[in-house]
Amino acid sequence: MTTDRSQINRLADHIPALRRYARVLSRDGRDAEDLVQDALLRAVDRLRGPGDVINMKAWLFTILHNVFVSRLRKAQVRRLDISLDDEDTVQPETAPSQEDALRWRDLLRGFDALPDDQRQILLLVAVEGLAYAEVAAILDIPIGTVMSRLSRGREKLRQLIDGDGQPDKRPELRRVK
Amino acid sequence: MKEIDRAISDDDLQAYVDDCLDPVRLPEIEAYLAAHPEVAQRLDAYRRQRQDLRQAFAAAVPPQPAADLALLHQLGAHLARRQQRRLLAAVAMIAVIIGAGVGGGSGWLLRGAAIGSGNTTIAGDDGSGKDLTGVAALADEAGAAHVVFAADRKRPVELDAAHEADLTKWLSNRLAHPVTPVDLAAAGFRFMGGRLIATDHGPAALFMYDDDKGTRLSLLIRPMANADLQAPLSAVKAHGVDGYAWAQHGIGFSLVGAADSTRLQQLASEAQRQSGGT
Repeated sequence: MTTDRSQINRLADHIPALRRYARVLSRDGRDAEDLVQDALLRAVDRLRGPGDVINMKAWLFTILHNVFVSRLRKAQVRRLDISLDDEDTVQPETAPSQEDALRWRDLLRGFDALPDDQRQILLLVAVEGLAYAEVAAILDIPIGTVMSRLSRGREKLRQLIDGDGQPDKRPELRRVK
Repeated sequence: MKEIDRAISDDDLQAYVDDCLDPVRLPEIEAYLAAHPEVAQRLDAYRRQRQDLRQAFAAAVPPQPAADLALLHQLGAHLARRQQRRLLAAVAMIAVIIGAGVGGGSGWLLRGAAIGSGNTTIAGDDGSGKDLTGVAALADEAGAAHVVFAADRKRPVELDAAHEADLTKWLSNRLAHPVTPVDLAAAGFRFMGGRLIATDHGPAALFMYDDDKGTRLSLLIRPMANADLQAPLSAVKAHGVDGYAWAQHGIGFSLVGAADSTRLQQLASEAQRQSGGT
């Protein structure tokens, strides 16, 4: 069984989603394109034939994530994570505009201010619509960790965007570590 | 820990937002949200957030058809290179298989002319088949075994010369025929020991000898199947190893090694003489 051109076409559908995830992973446009390219080359090397990969999107995300992680290790890059507990470090910059473009820009600014692990999970779940178990597999973390990061990421982004300045109004919603 | 209500966890609320909550639990959650409007508001905000994020990402990472095409082209080229490598590997594999067939069959160098004047006949090998029989098979097996075991510096034999009695008894039992190592000491080759080996024609005894220079010889002995129950000494070459093979009274012998042809012939003649022939 050899890979043919139709195999490559199978990959094409997922390129936009890979670009989004790469952008979230790398925070850098050029770097992101490079990540996507690297991940796709690896995918081509591993494809064997029709039906070999059941969940193509989750599989490609896993490869992309692994490419990113191995690059991080090689480059010894240490990213600055904004700890969830540092409530003071991030403040909403402007009030949300009614104009869509401005609203989205603000939303992405808030999104980018989240810790990396929360950004990744929020993208995979909310934007890409992957199942929790798939996300856990891609990131190689327990599903409980996916859930708690998702919850924290959503709430933090909501506070940033709504700008209500009143984090966790209801005590019963606070997560106690 | 994650309990918000007695029965409702934060995980349930997230699943509700993502529309992946177990439908059985839906009424329960909806009742809870009806009783807790502030939580319902927050979940609504999450749903809006999800929708906004999708649109924001669609805007921030727009479709790039030109870049897609370039990428797909690159993947296609990569795939073509990989397939080419696979094809080359497959061709190489086929070549190996064909080579093995040639080496084991028609490509056999039966140098009968080296002895006497070409009057050596190797029955059972007309040069056309892949399945060797008779003395040709015998020599092939000896060559193959020699390549493997003579190259083994640490453990070329399974039972060494000090256990000759055990070795002889063991091999004789397995071959159902008395076999003993010939003595080549007069020609400068010490008996090292031996082992039992498997061949296409059943078990065989393999004895090994070496001289002061470290040259090793292998002597293979086994009962002949049907062909060549009696065969004169003839020069053979198999698996890159020179040697001589013969058969007498239904027992086949092949002595092979890295010694020069004349010496090999003398050694083989001596072995033949000791083992009851000529």
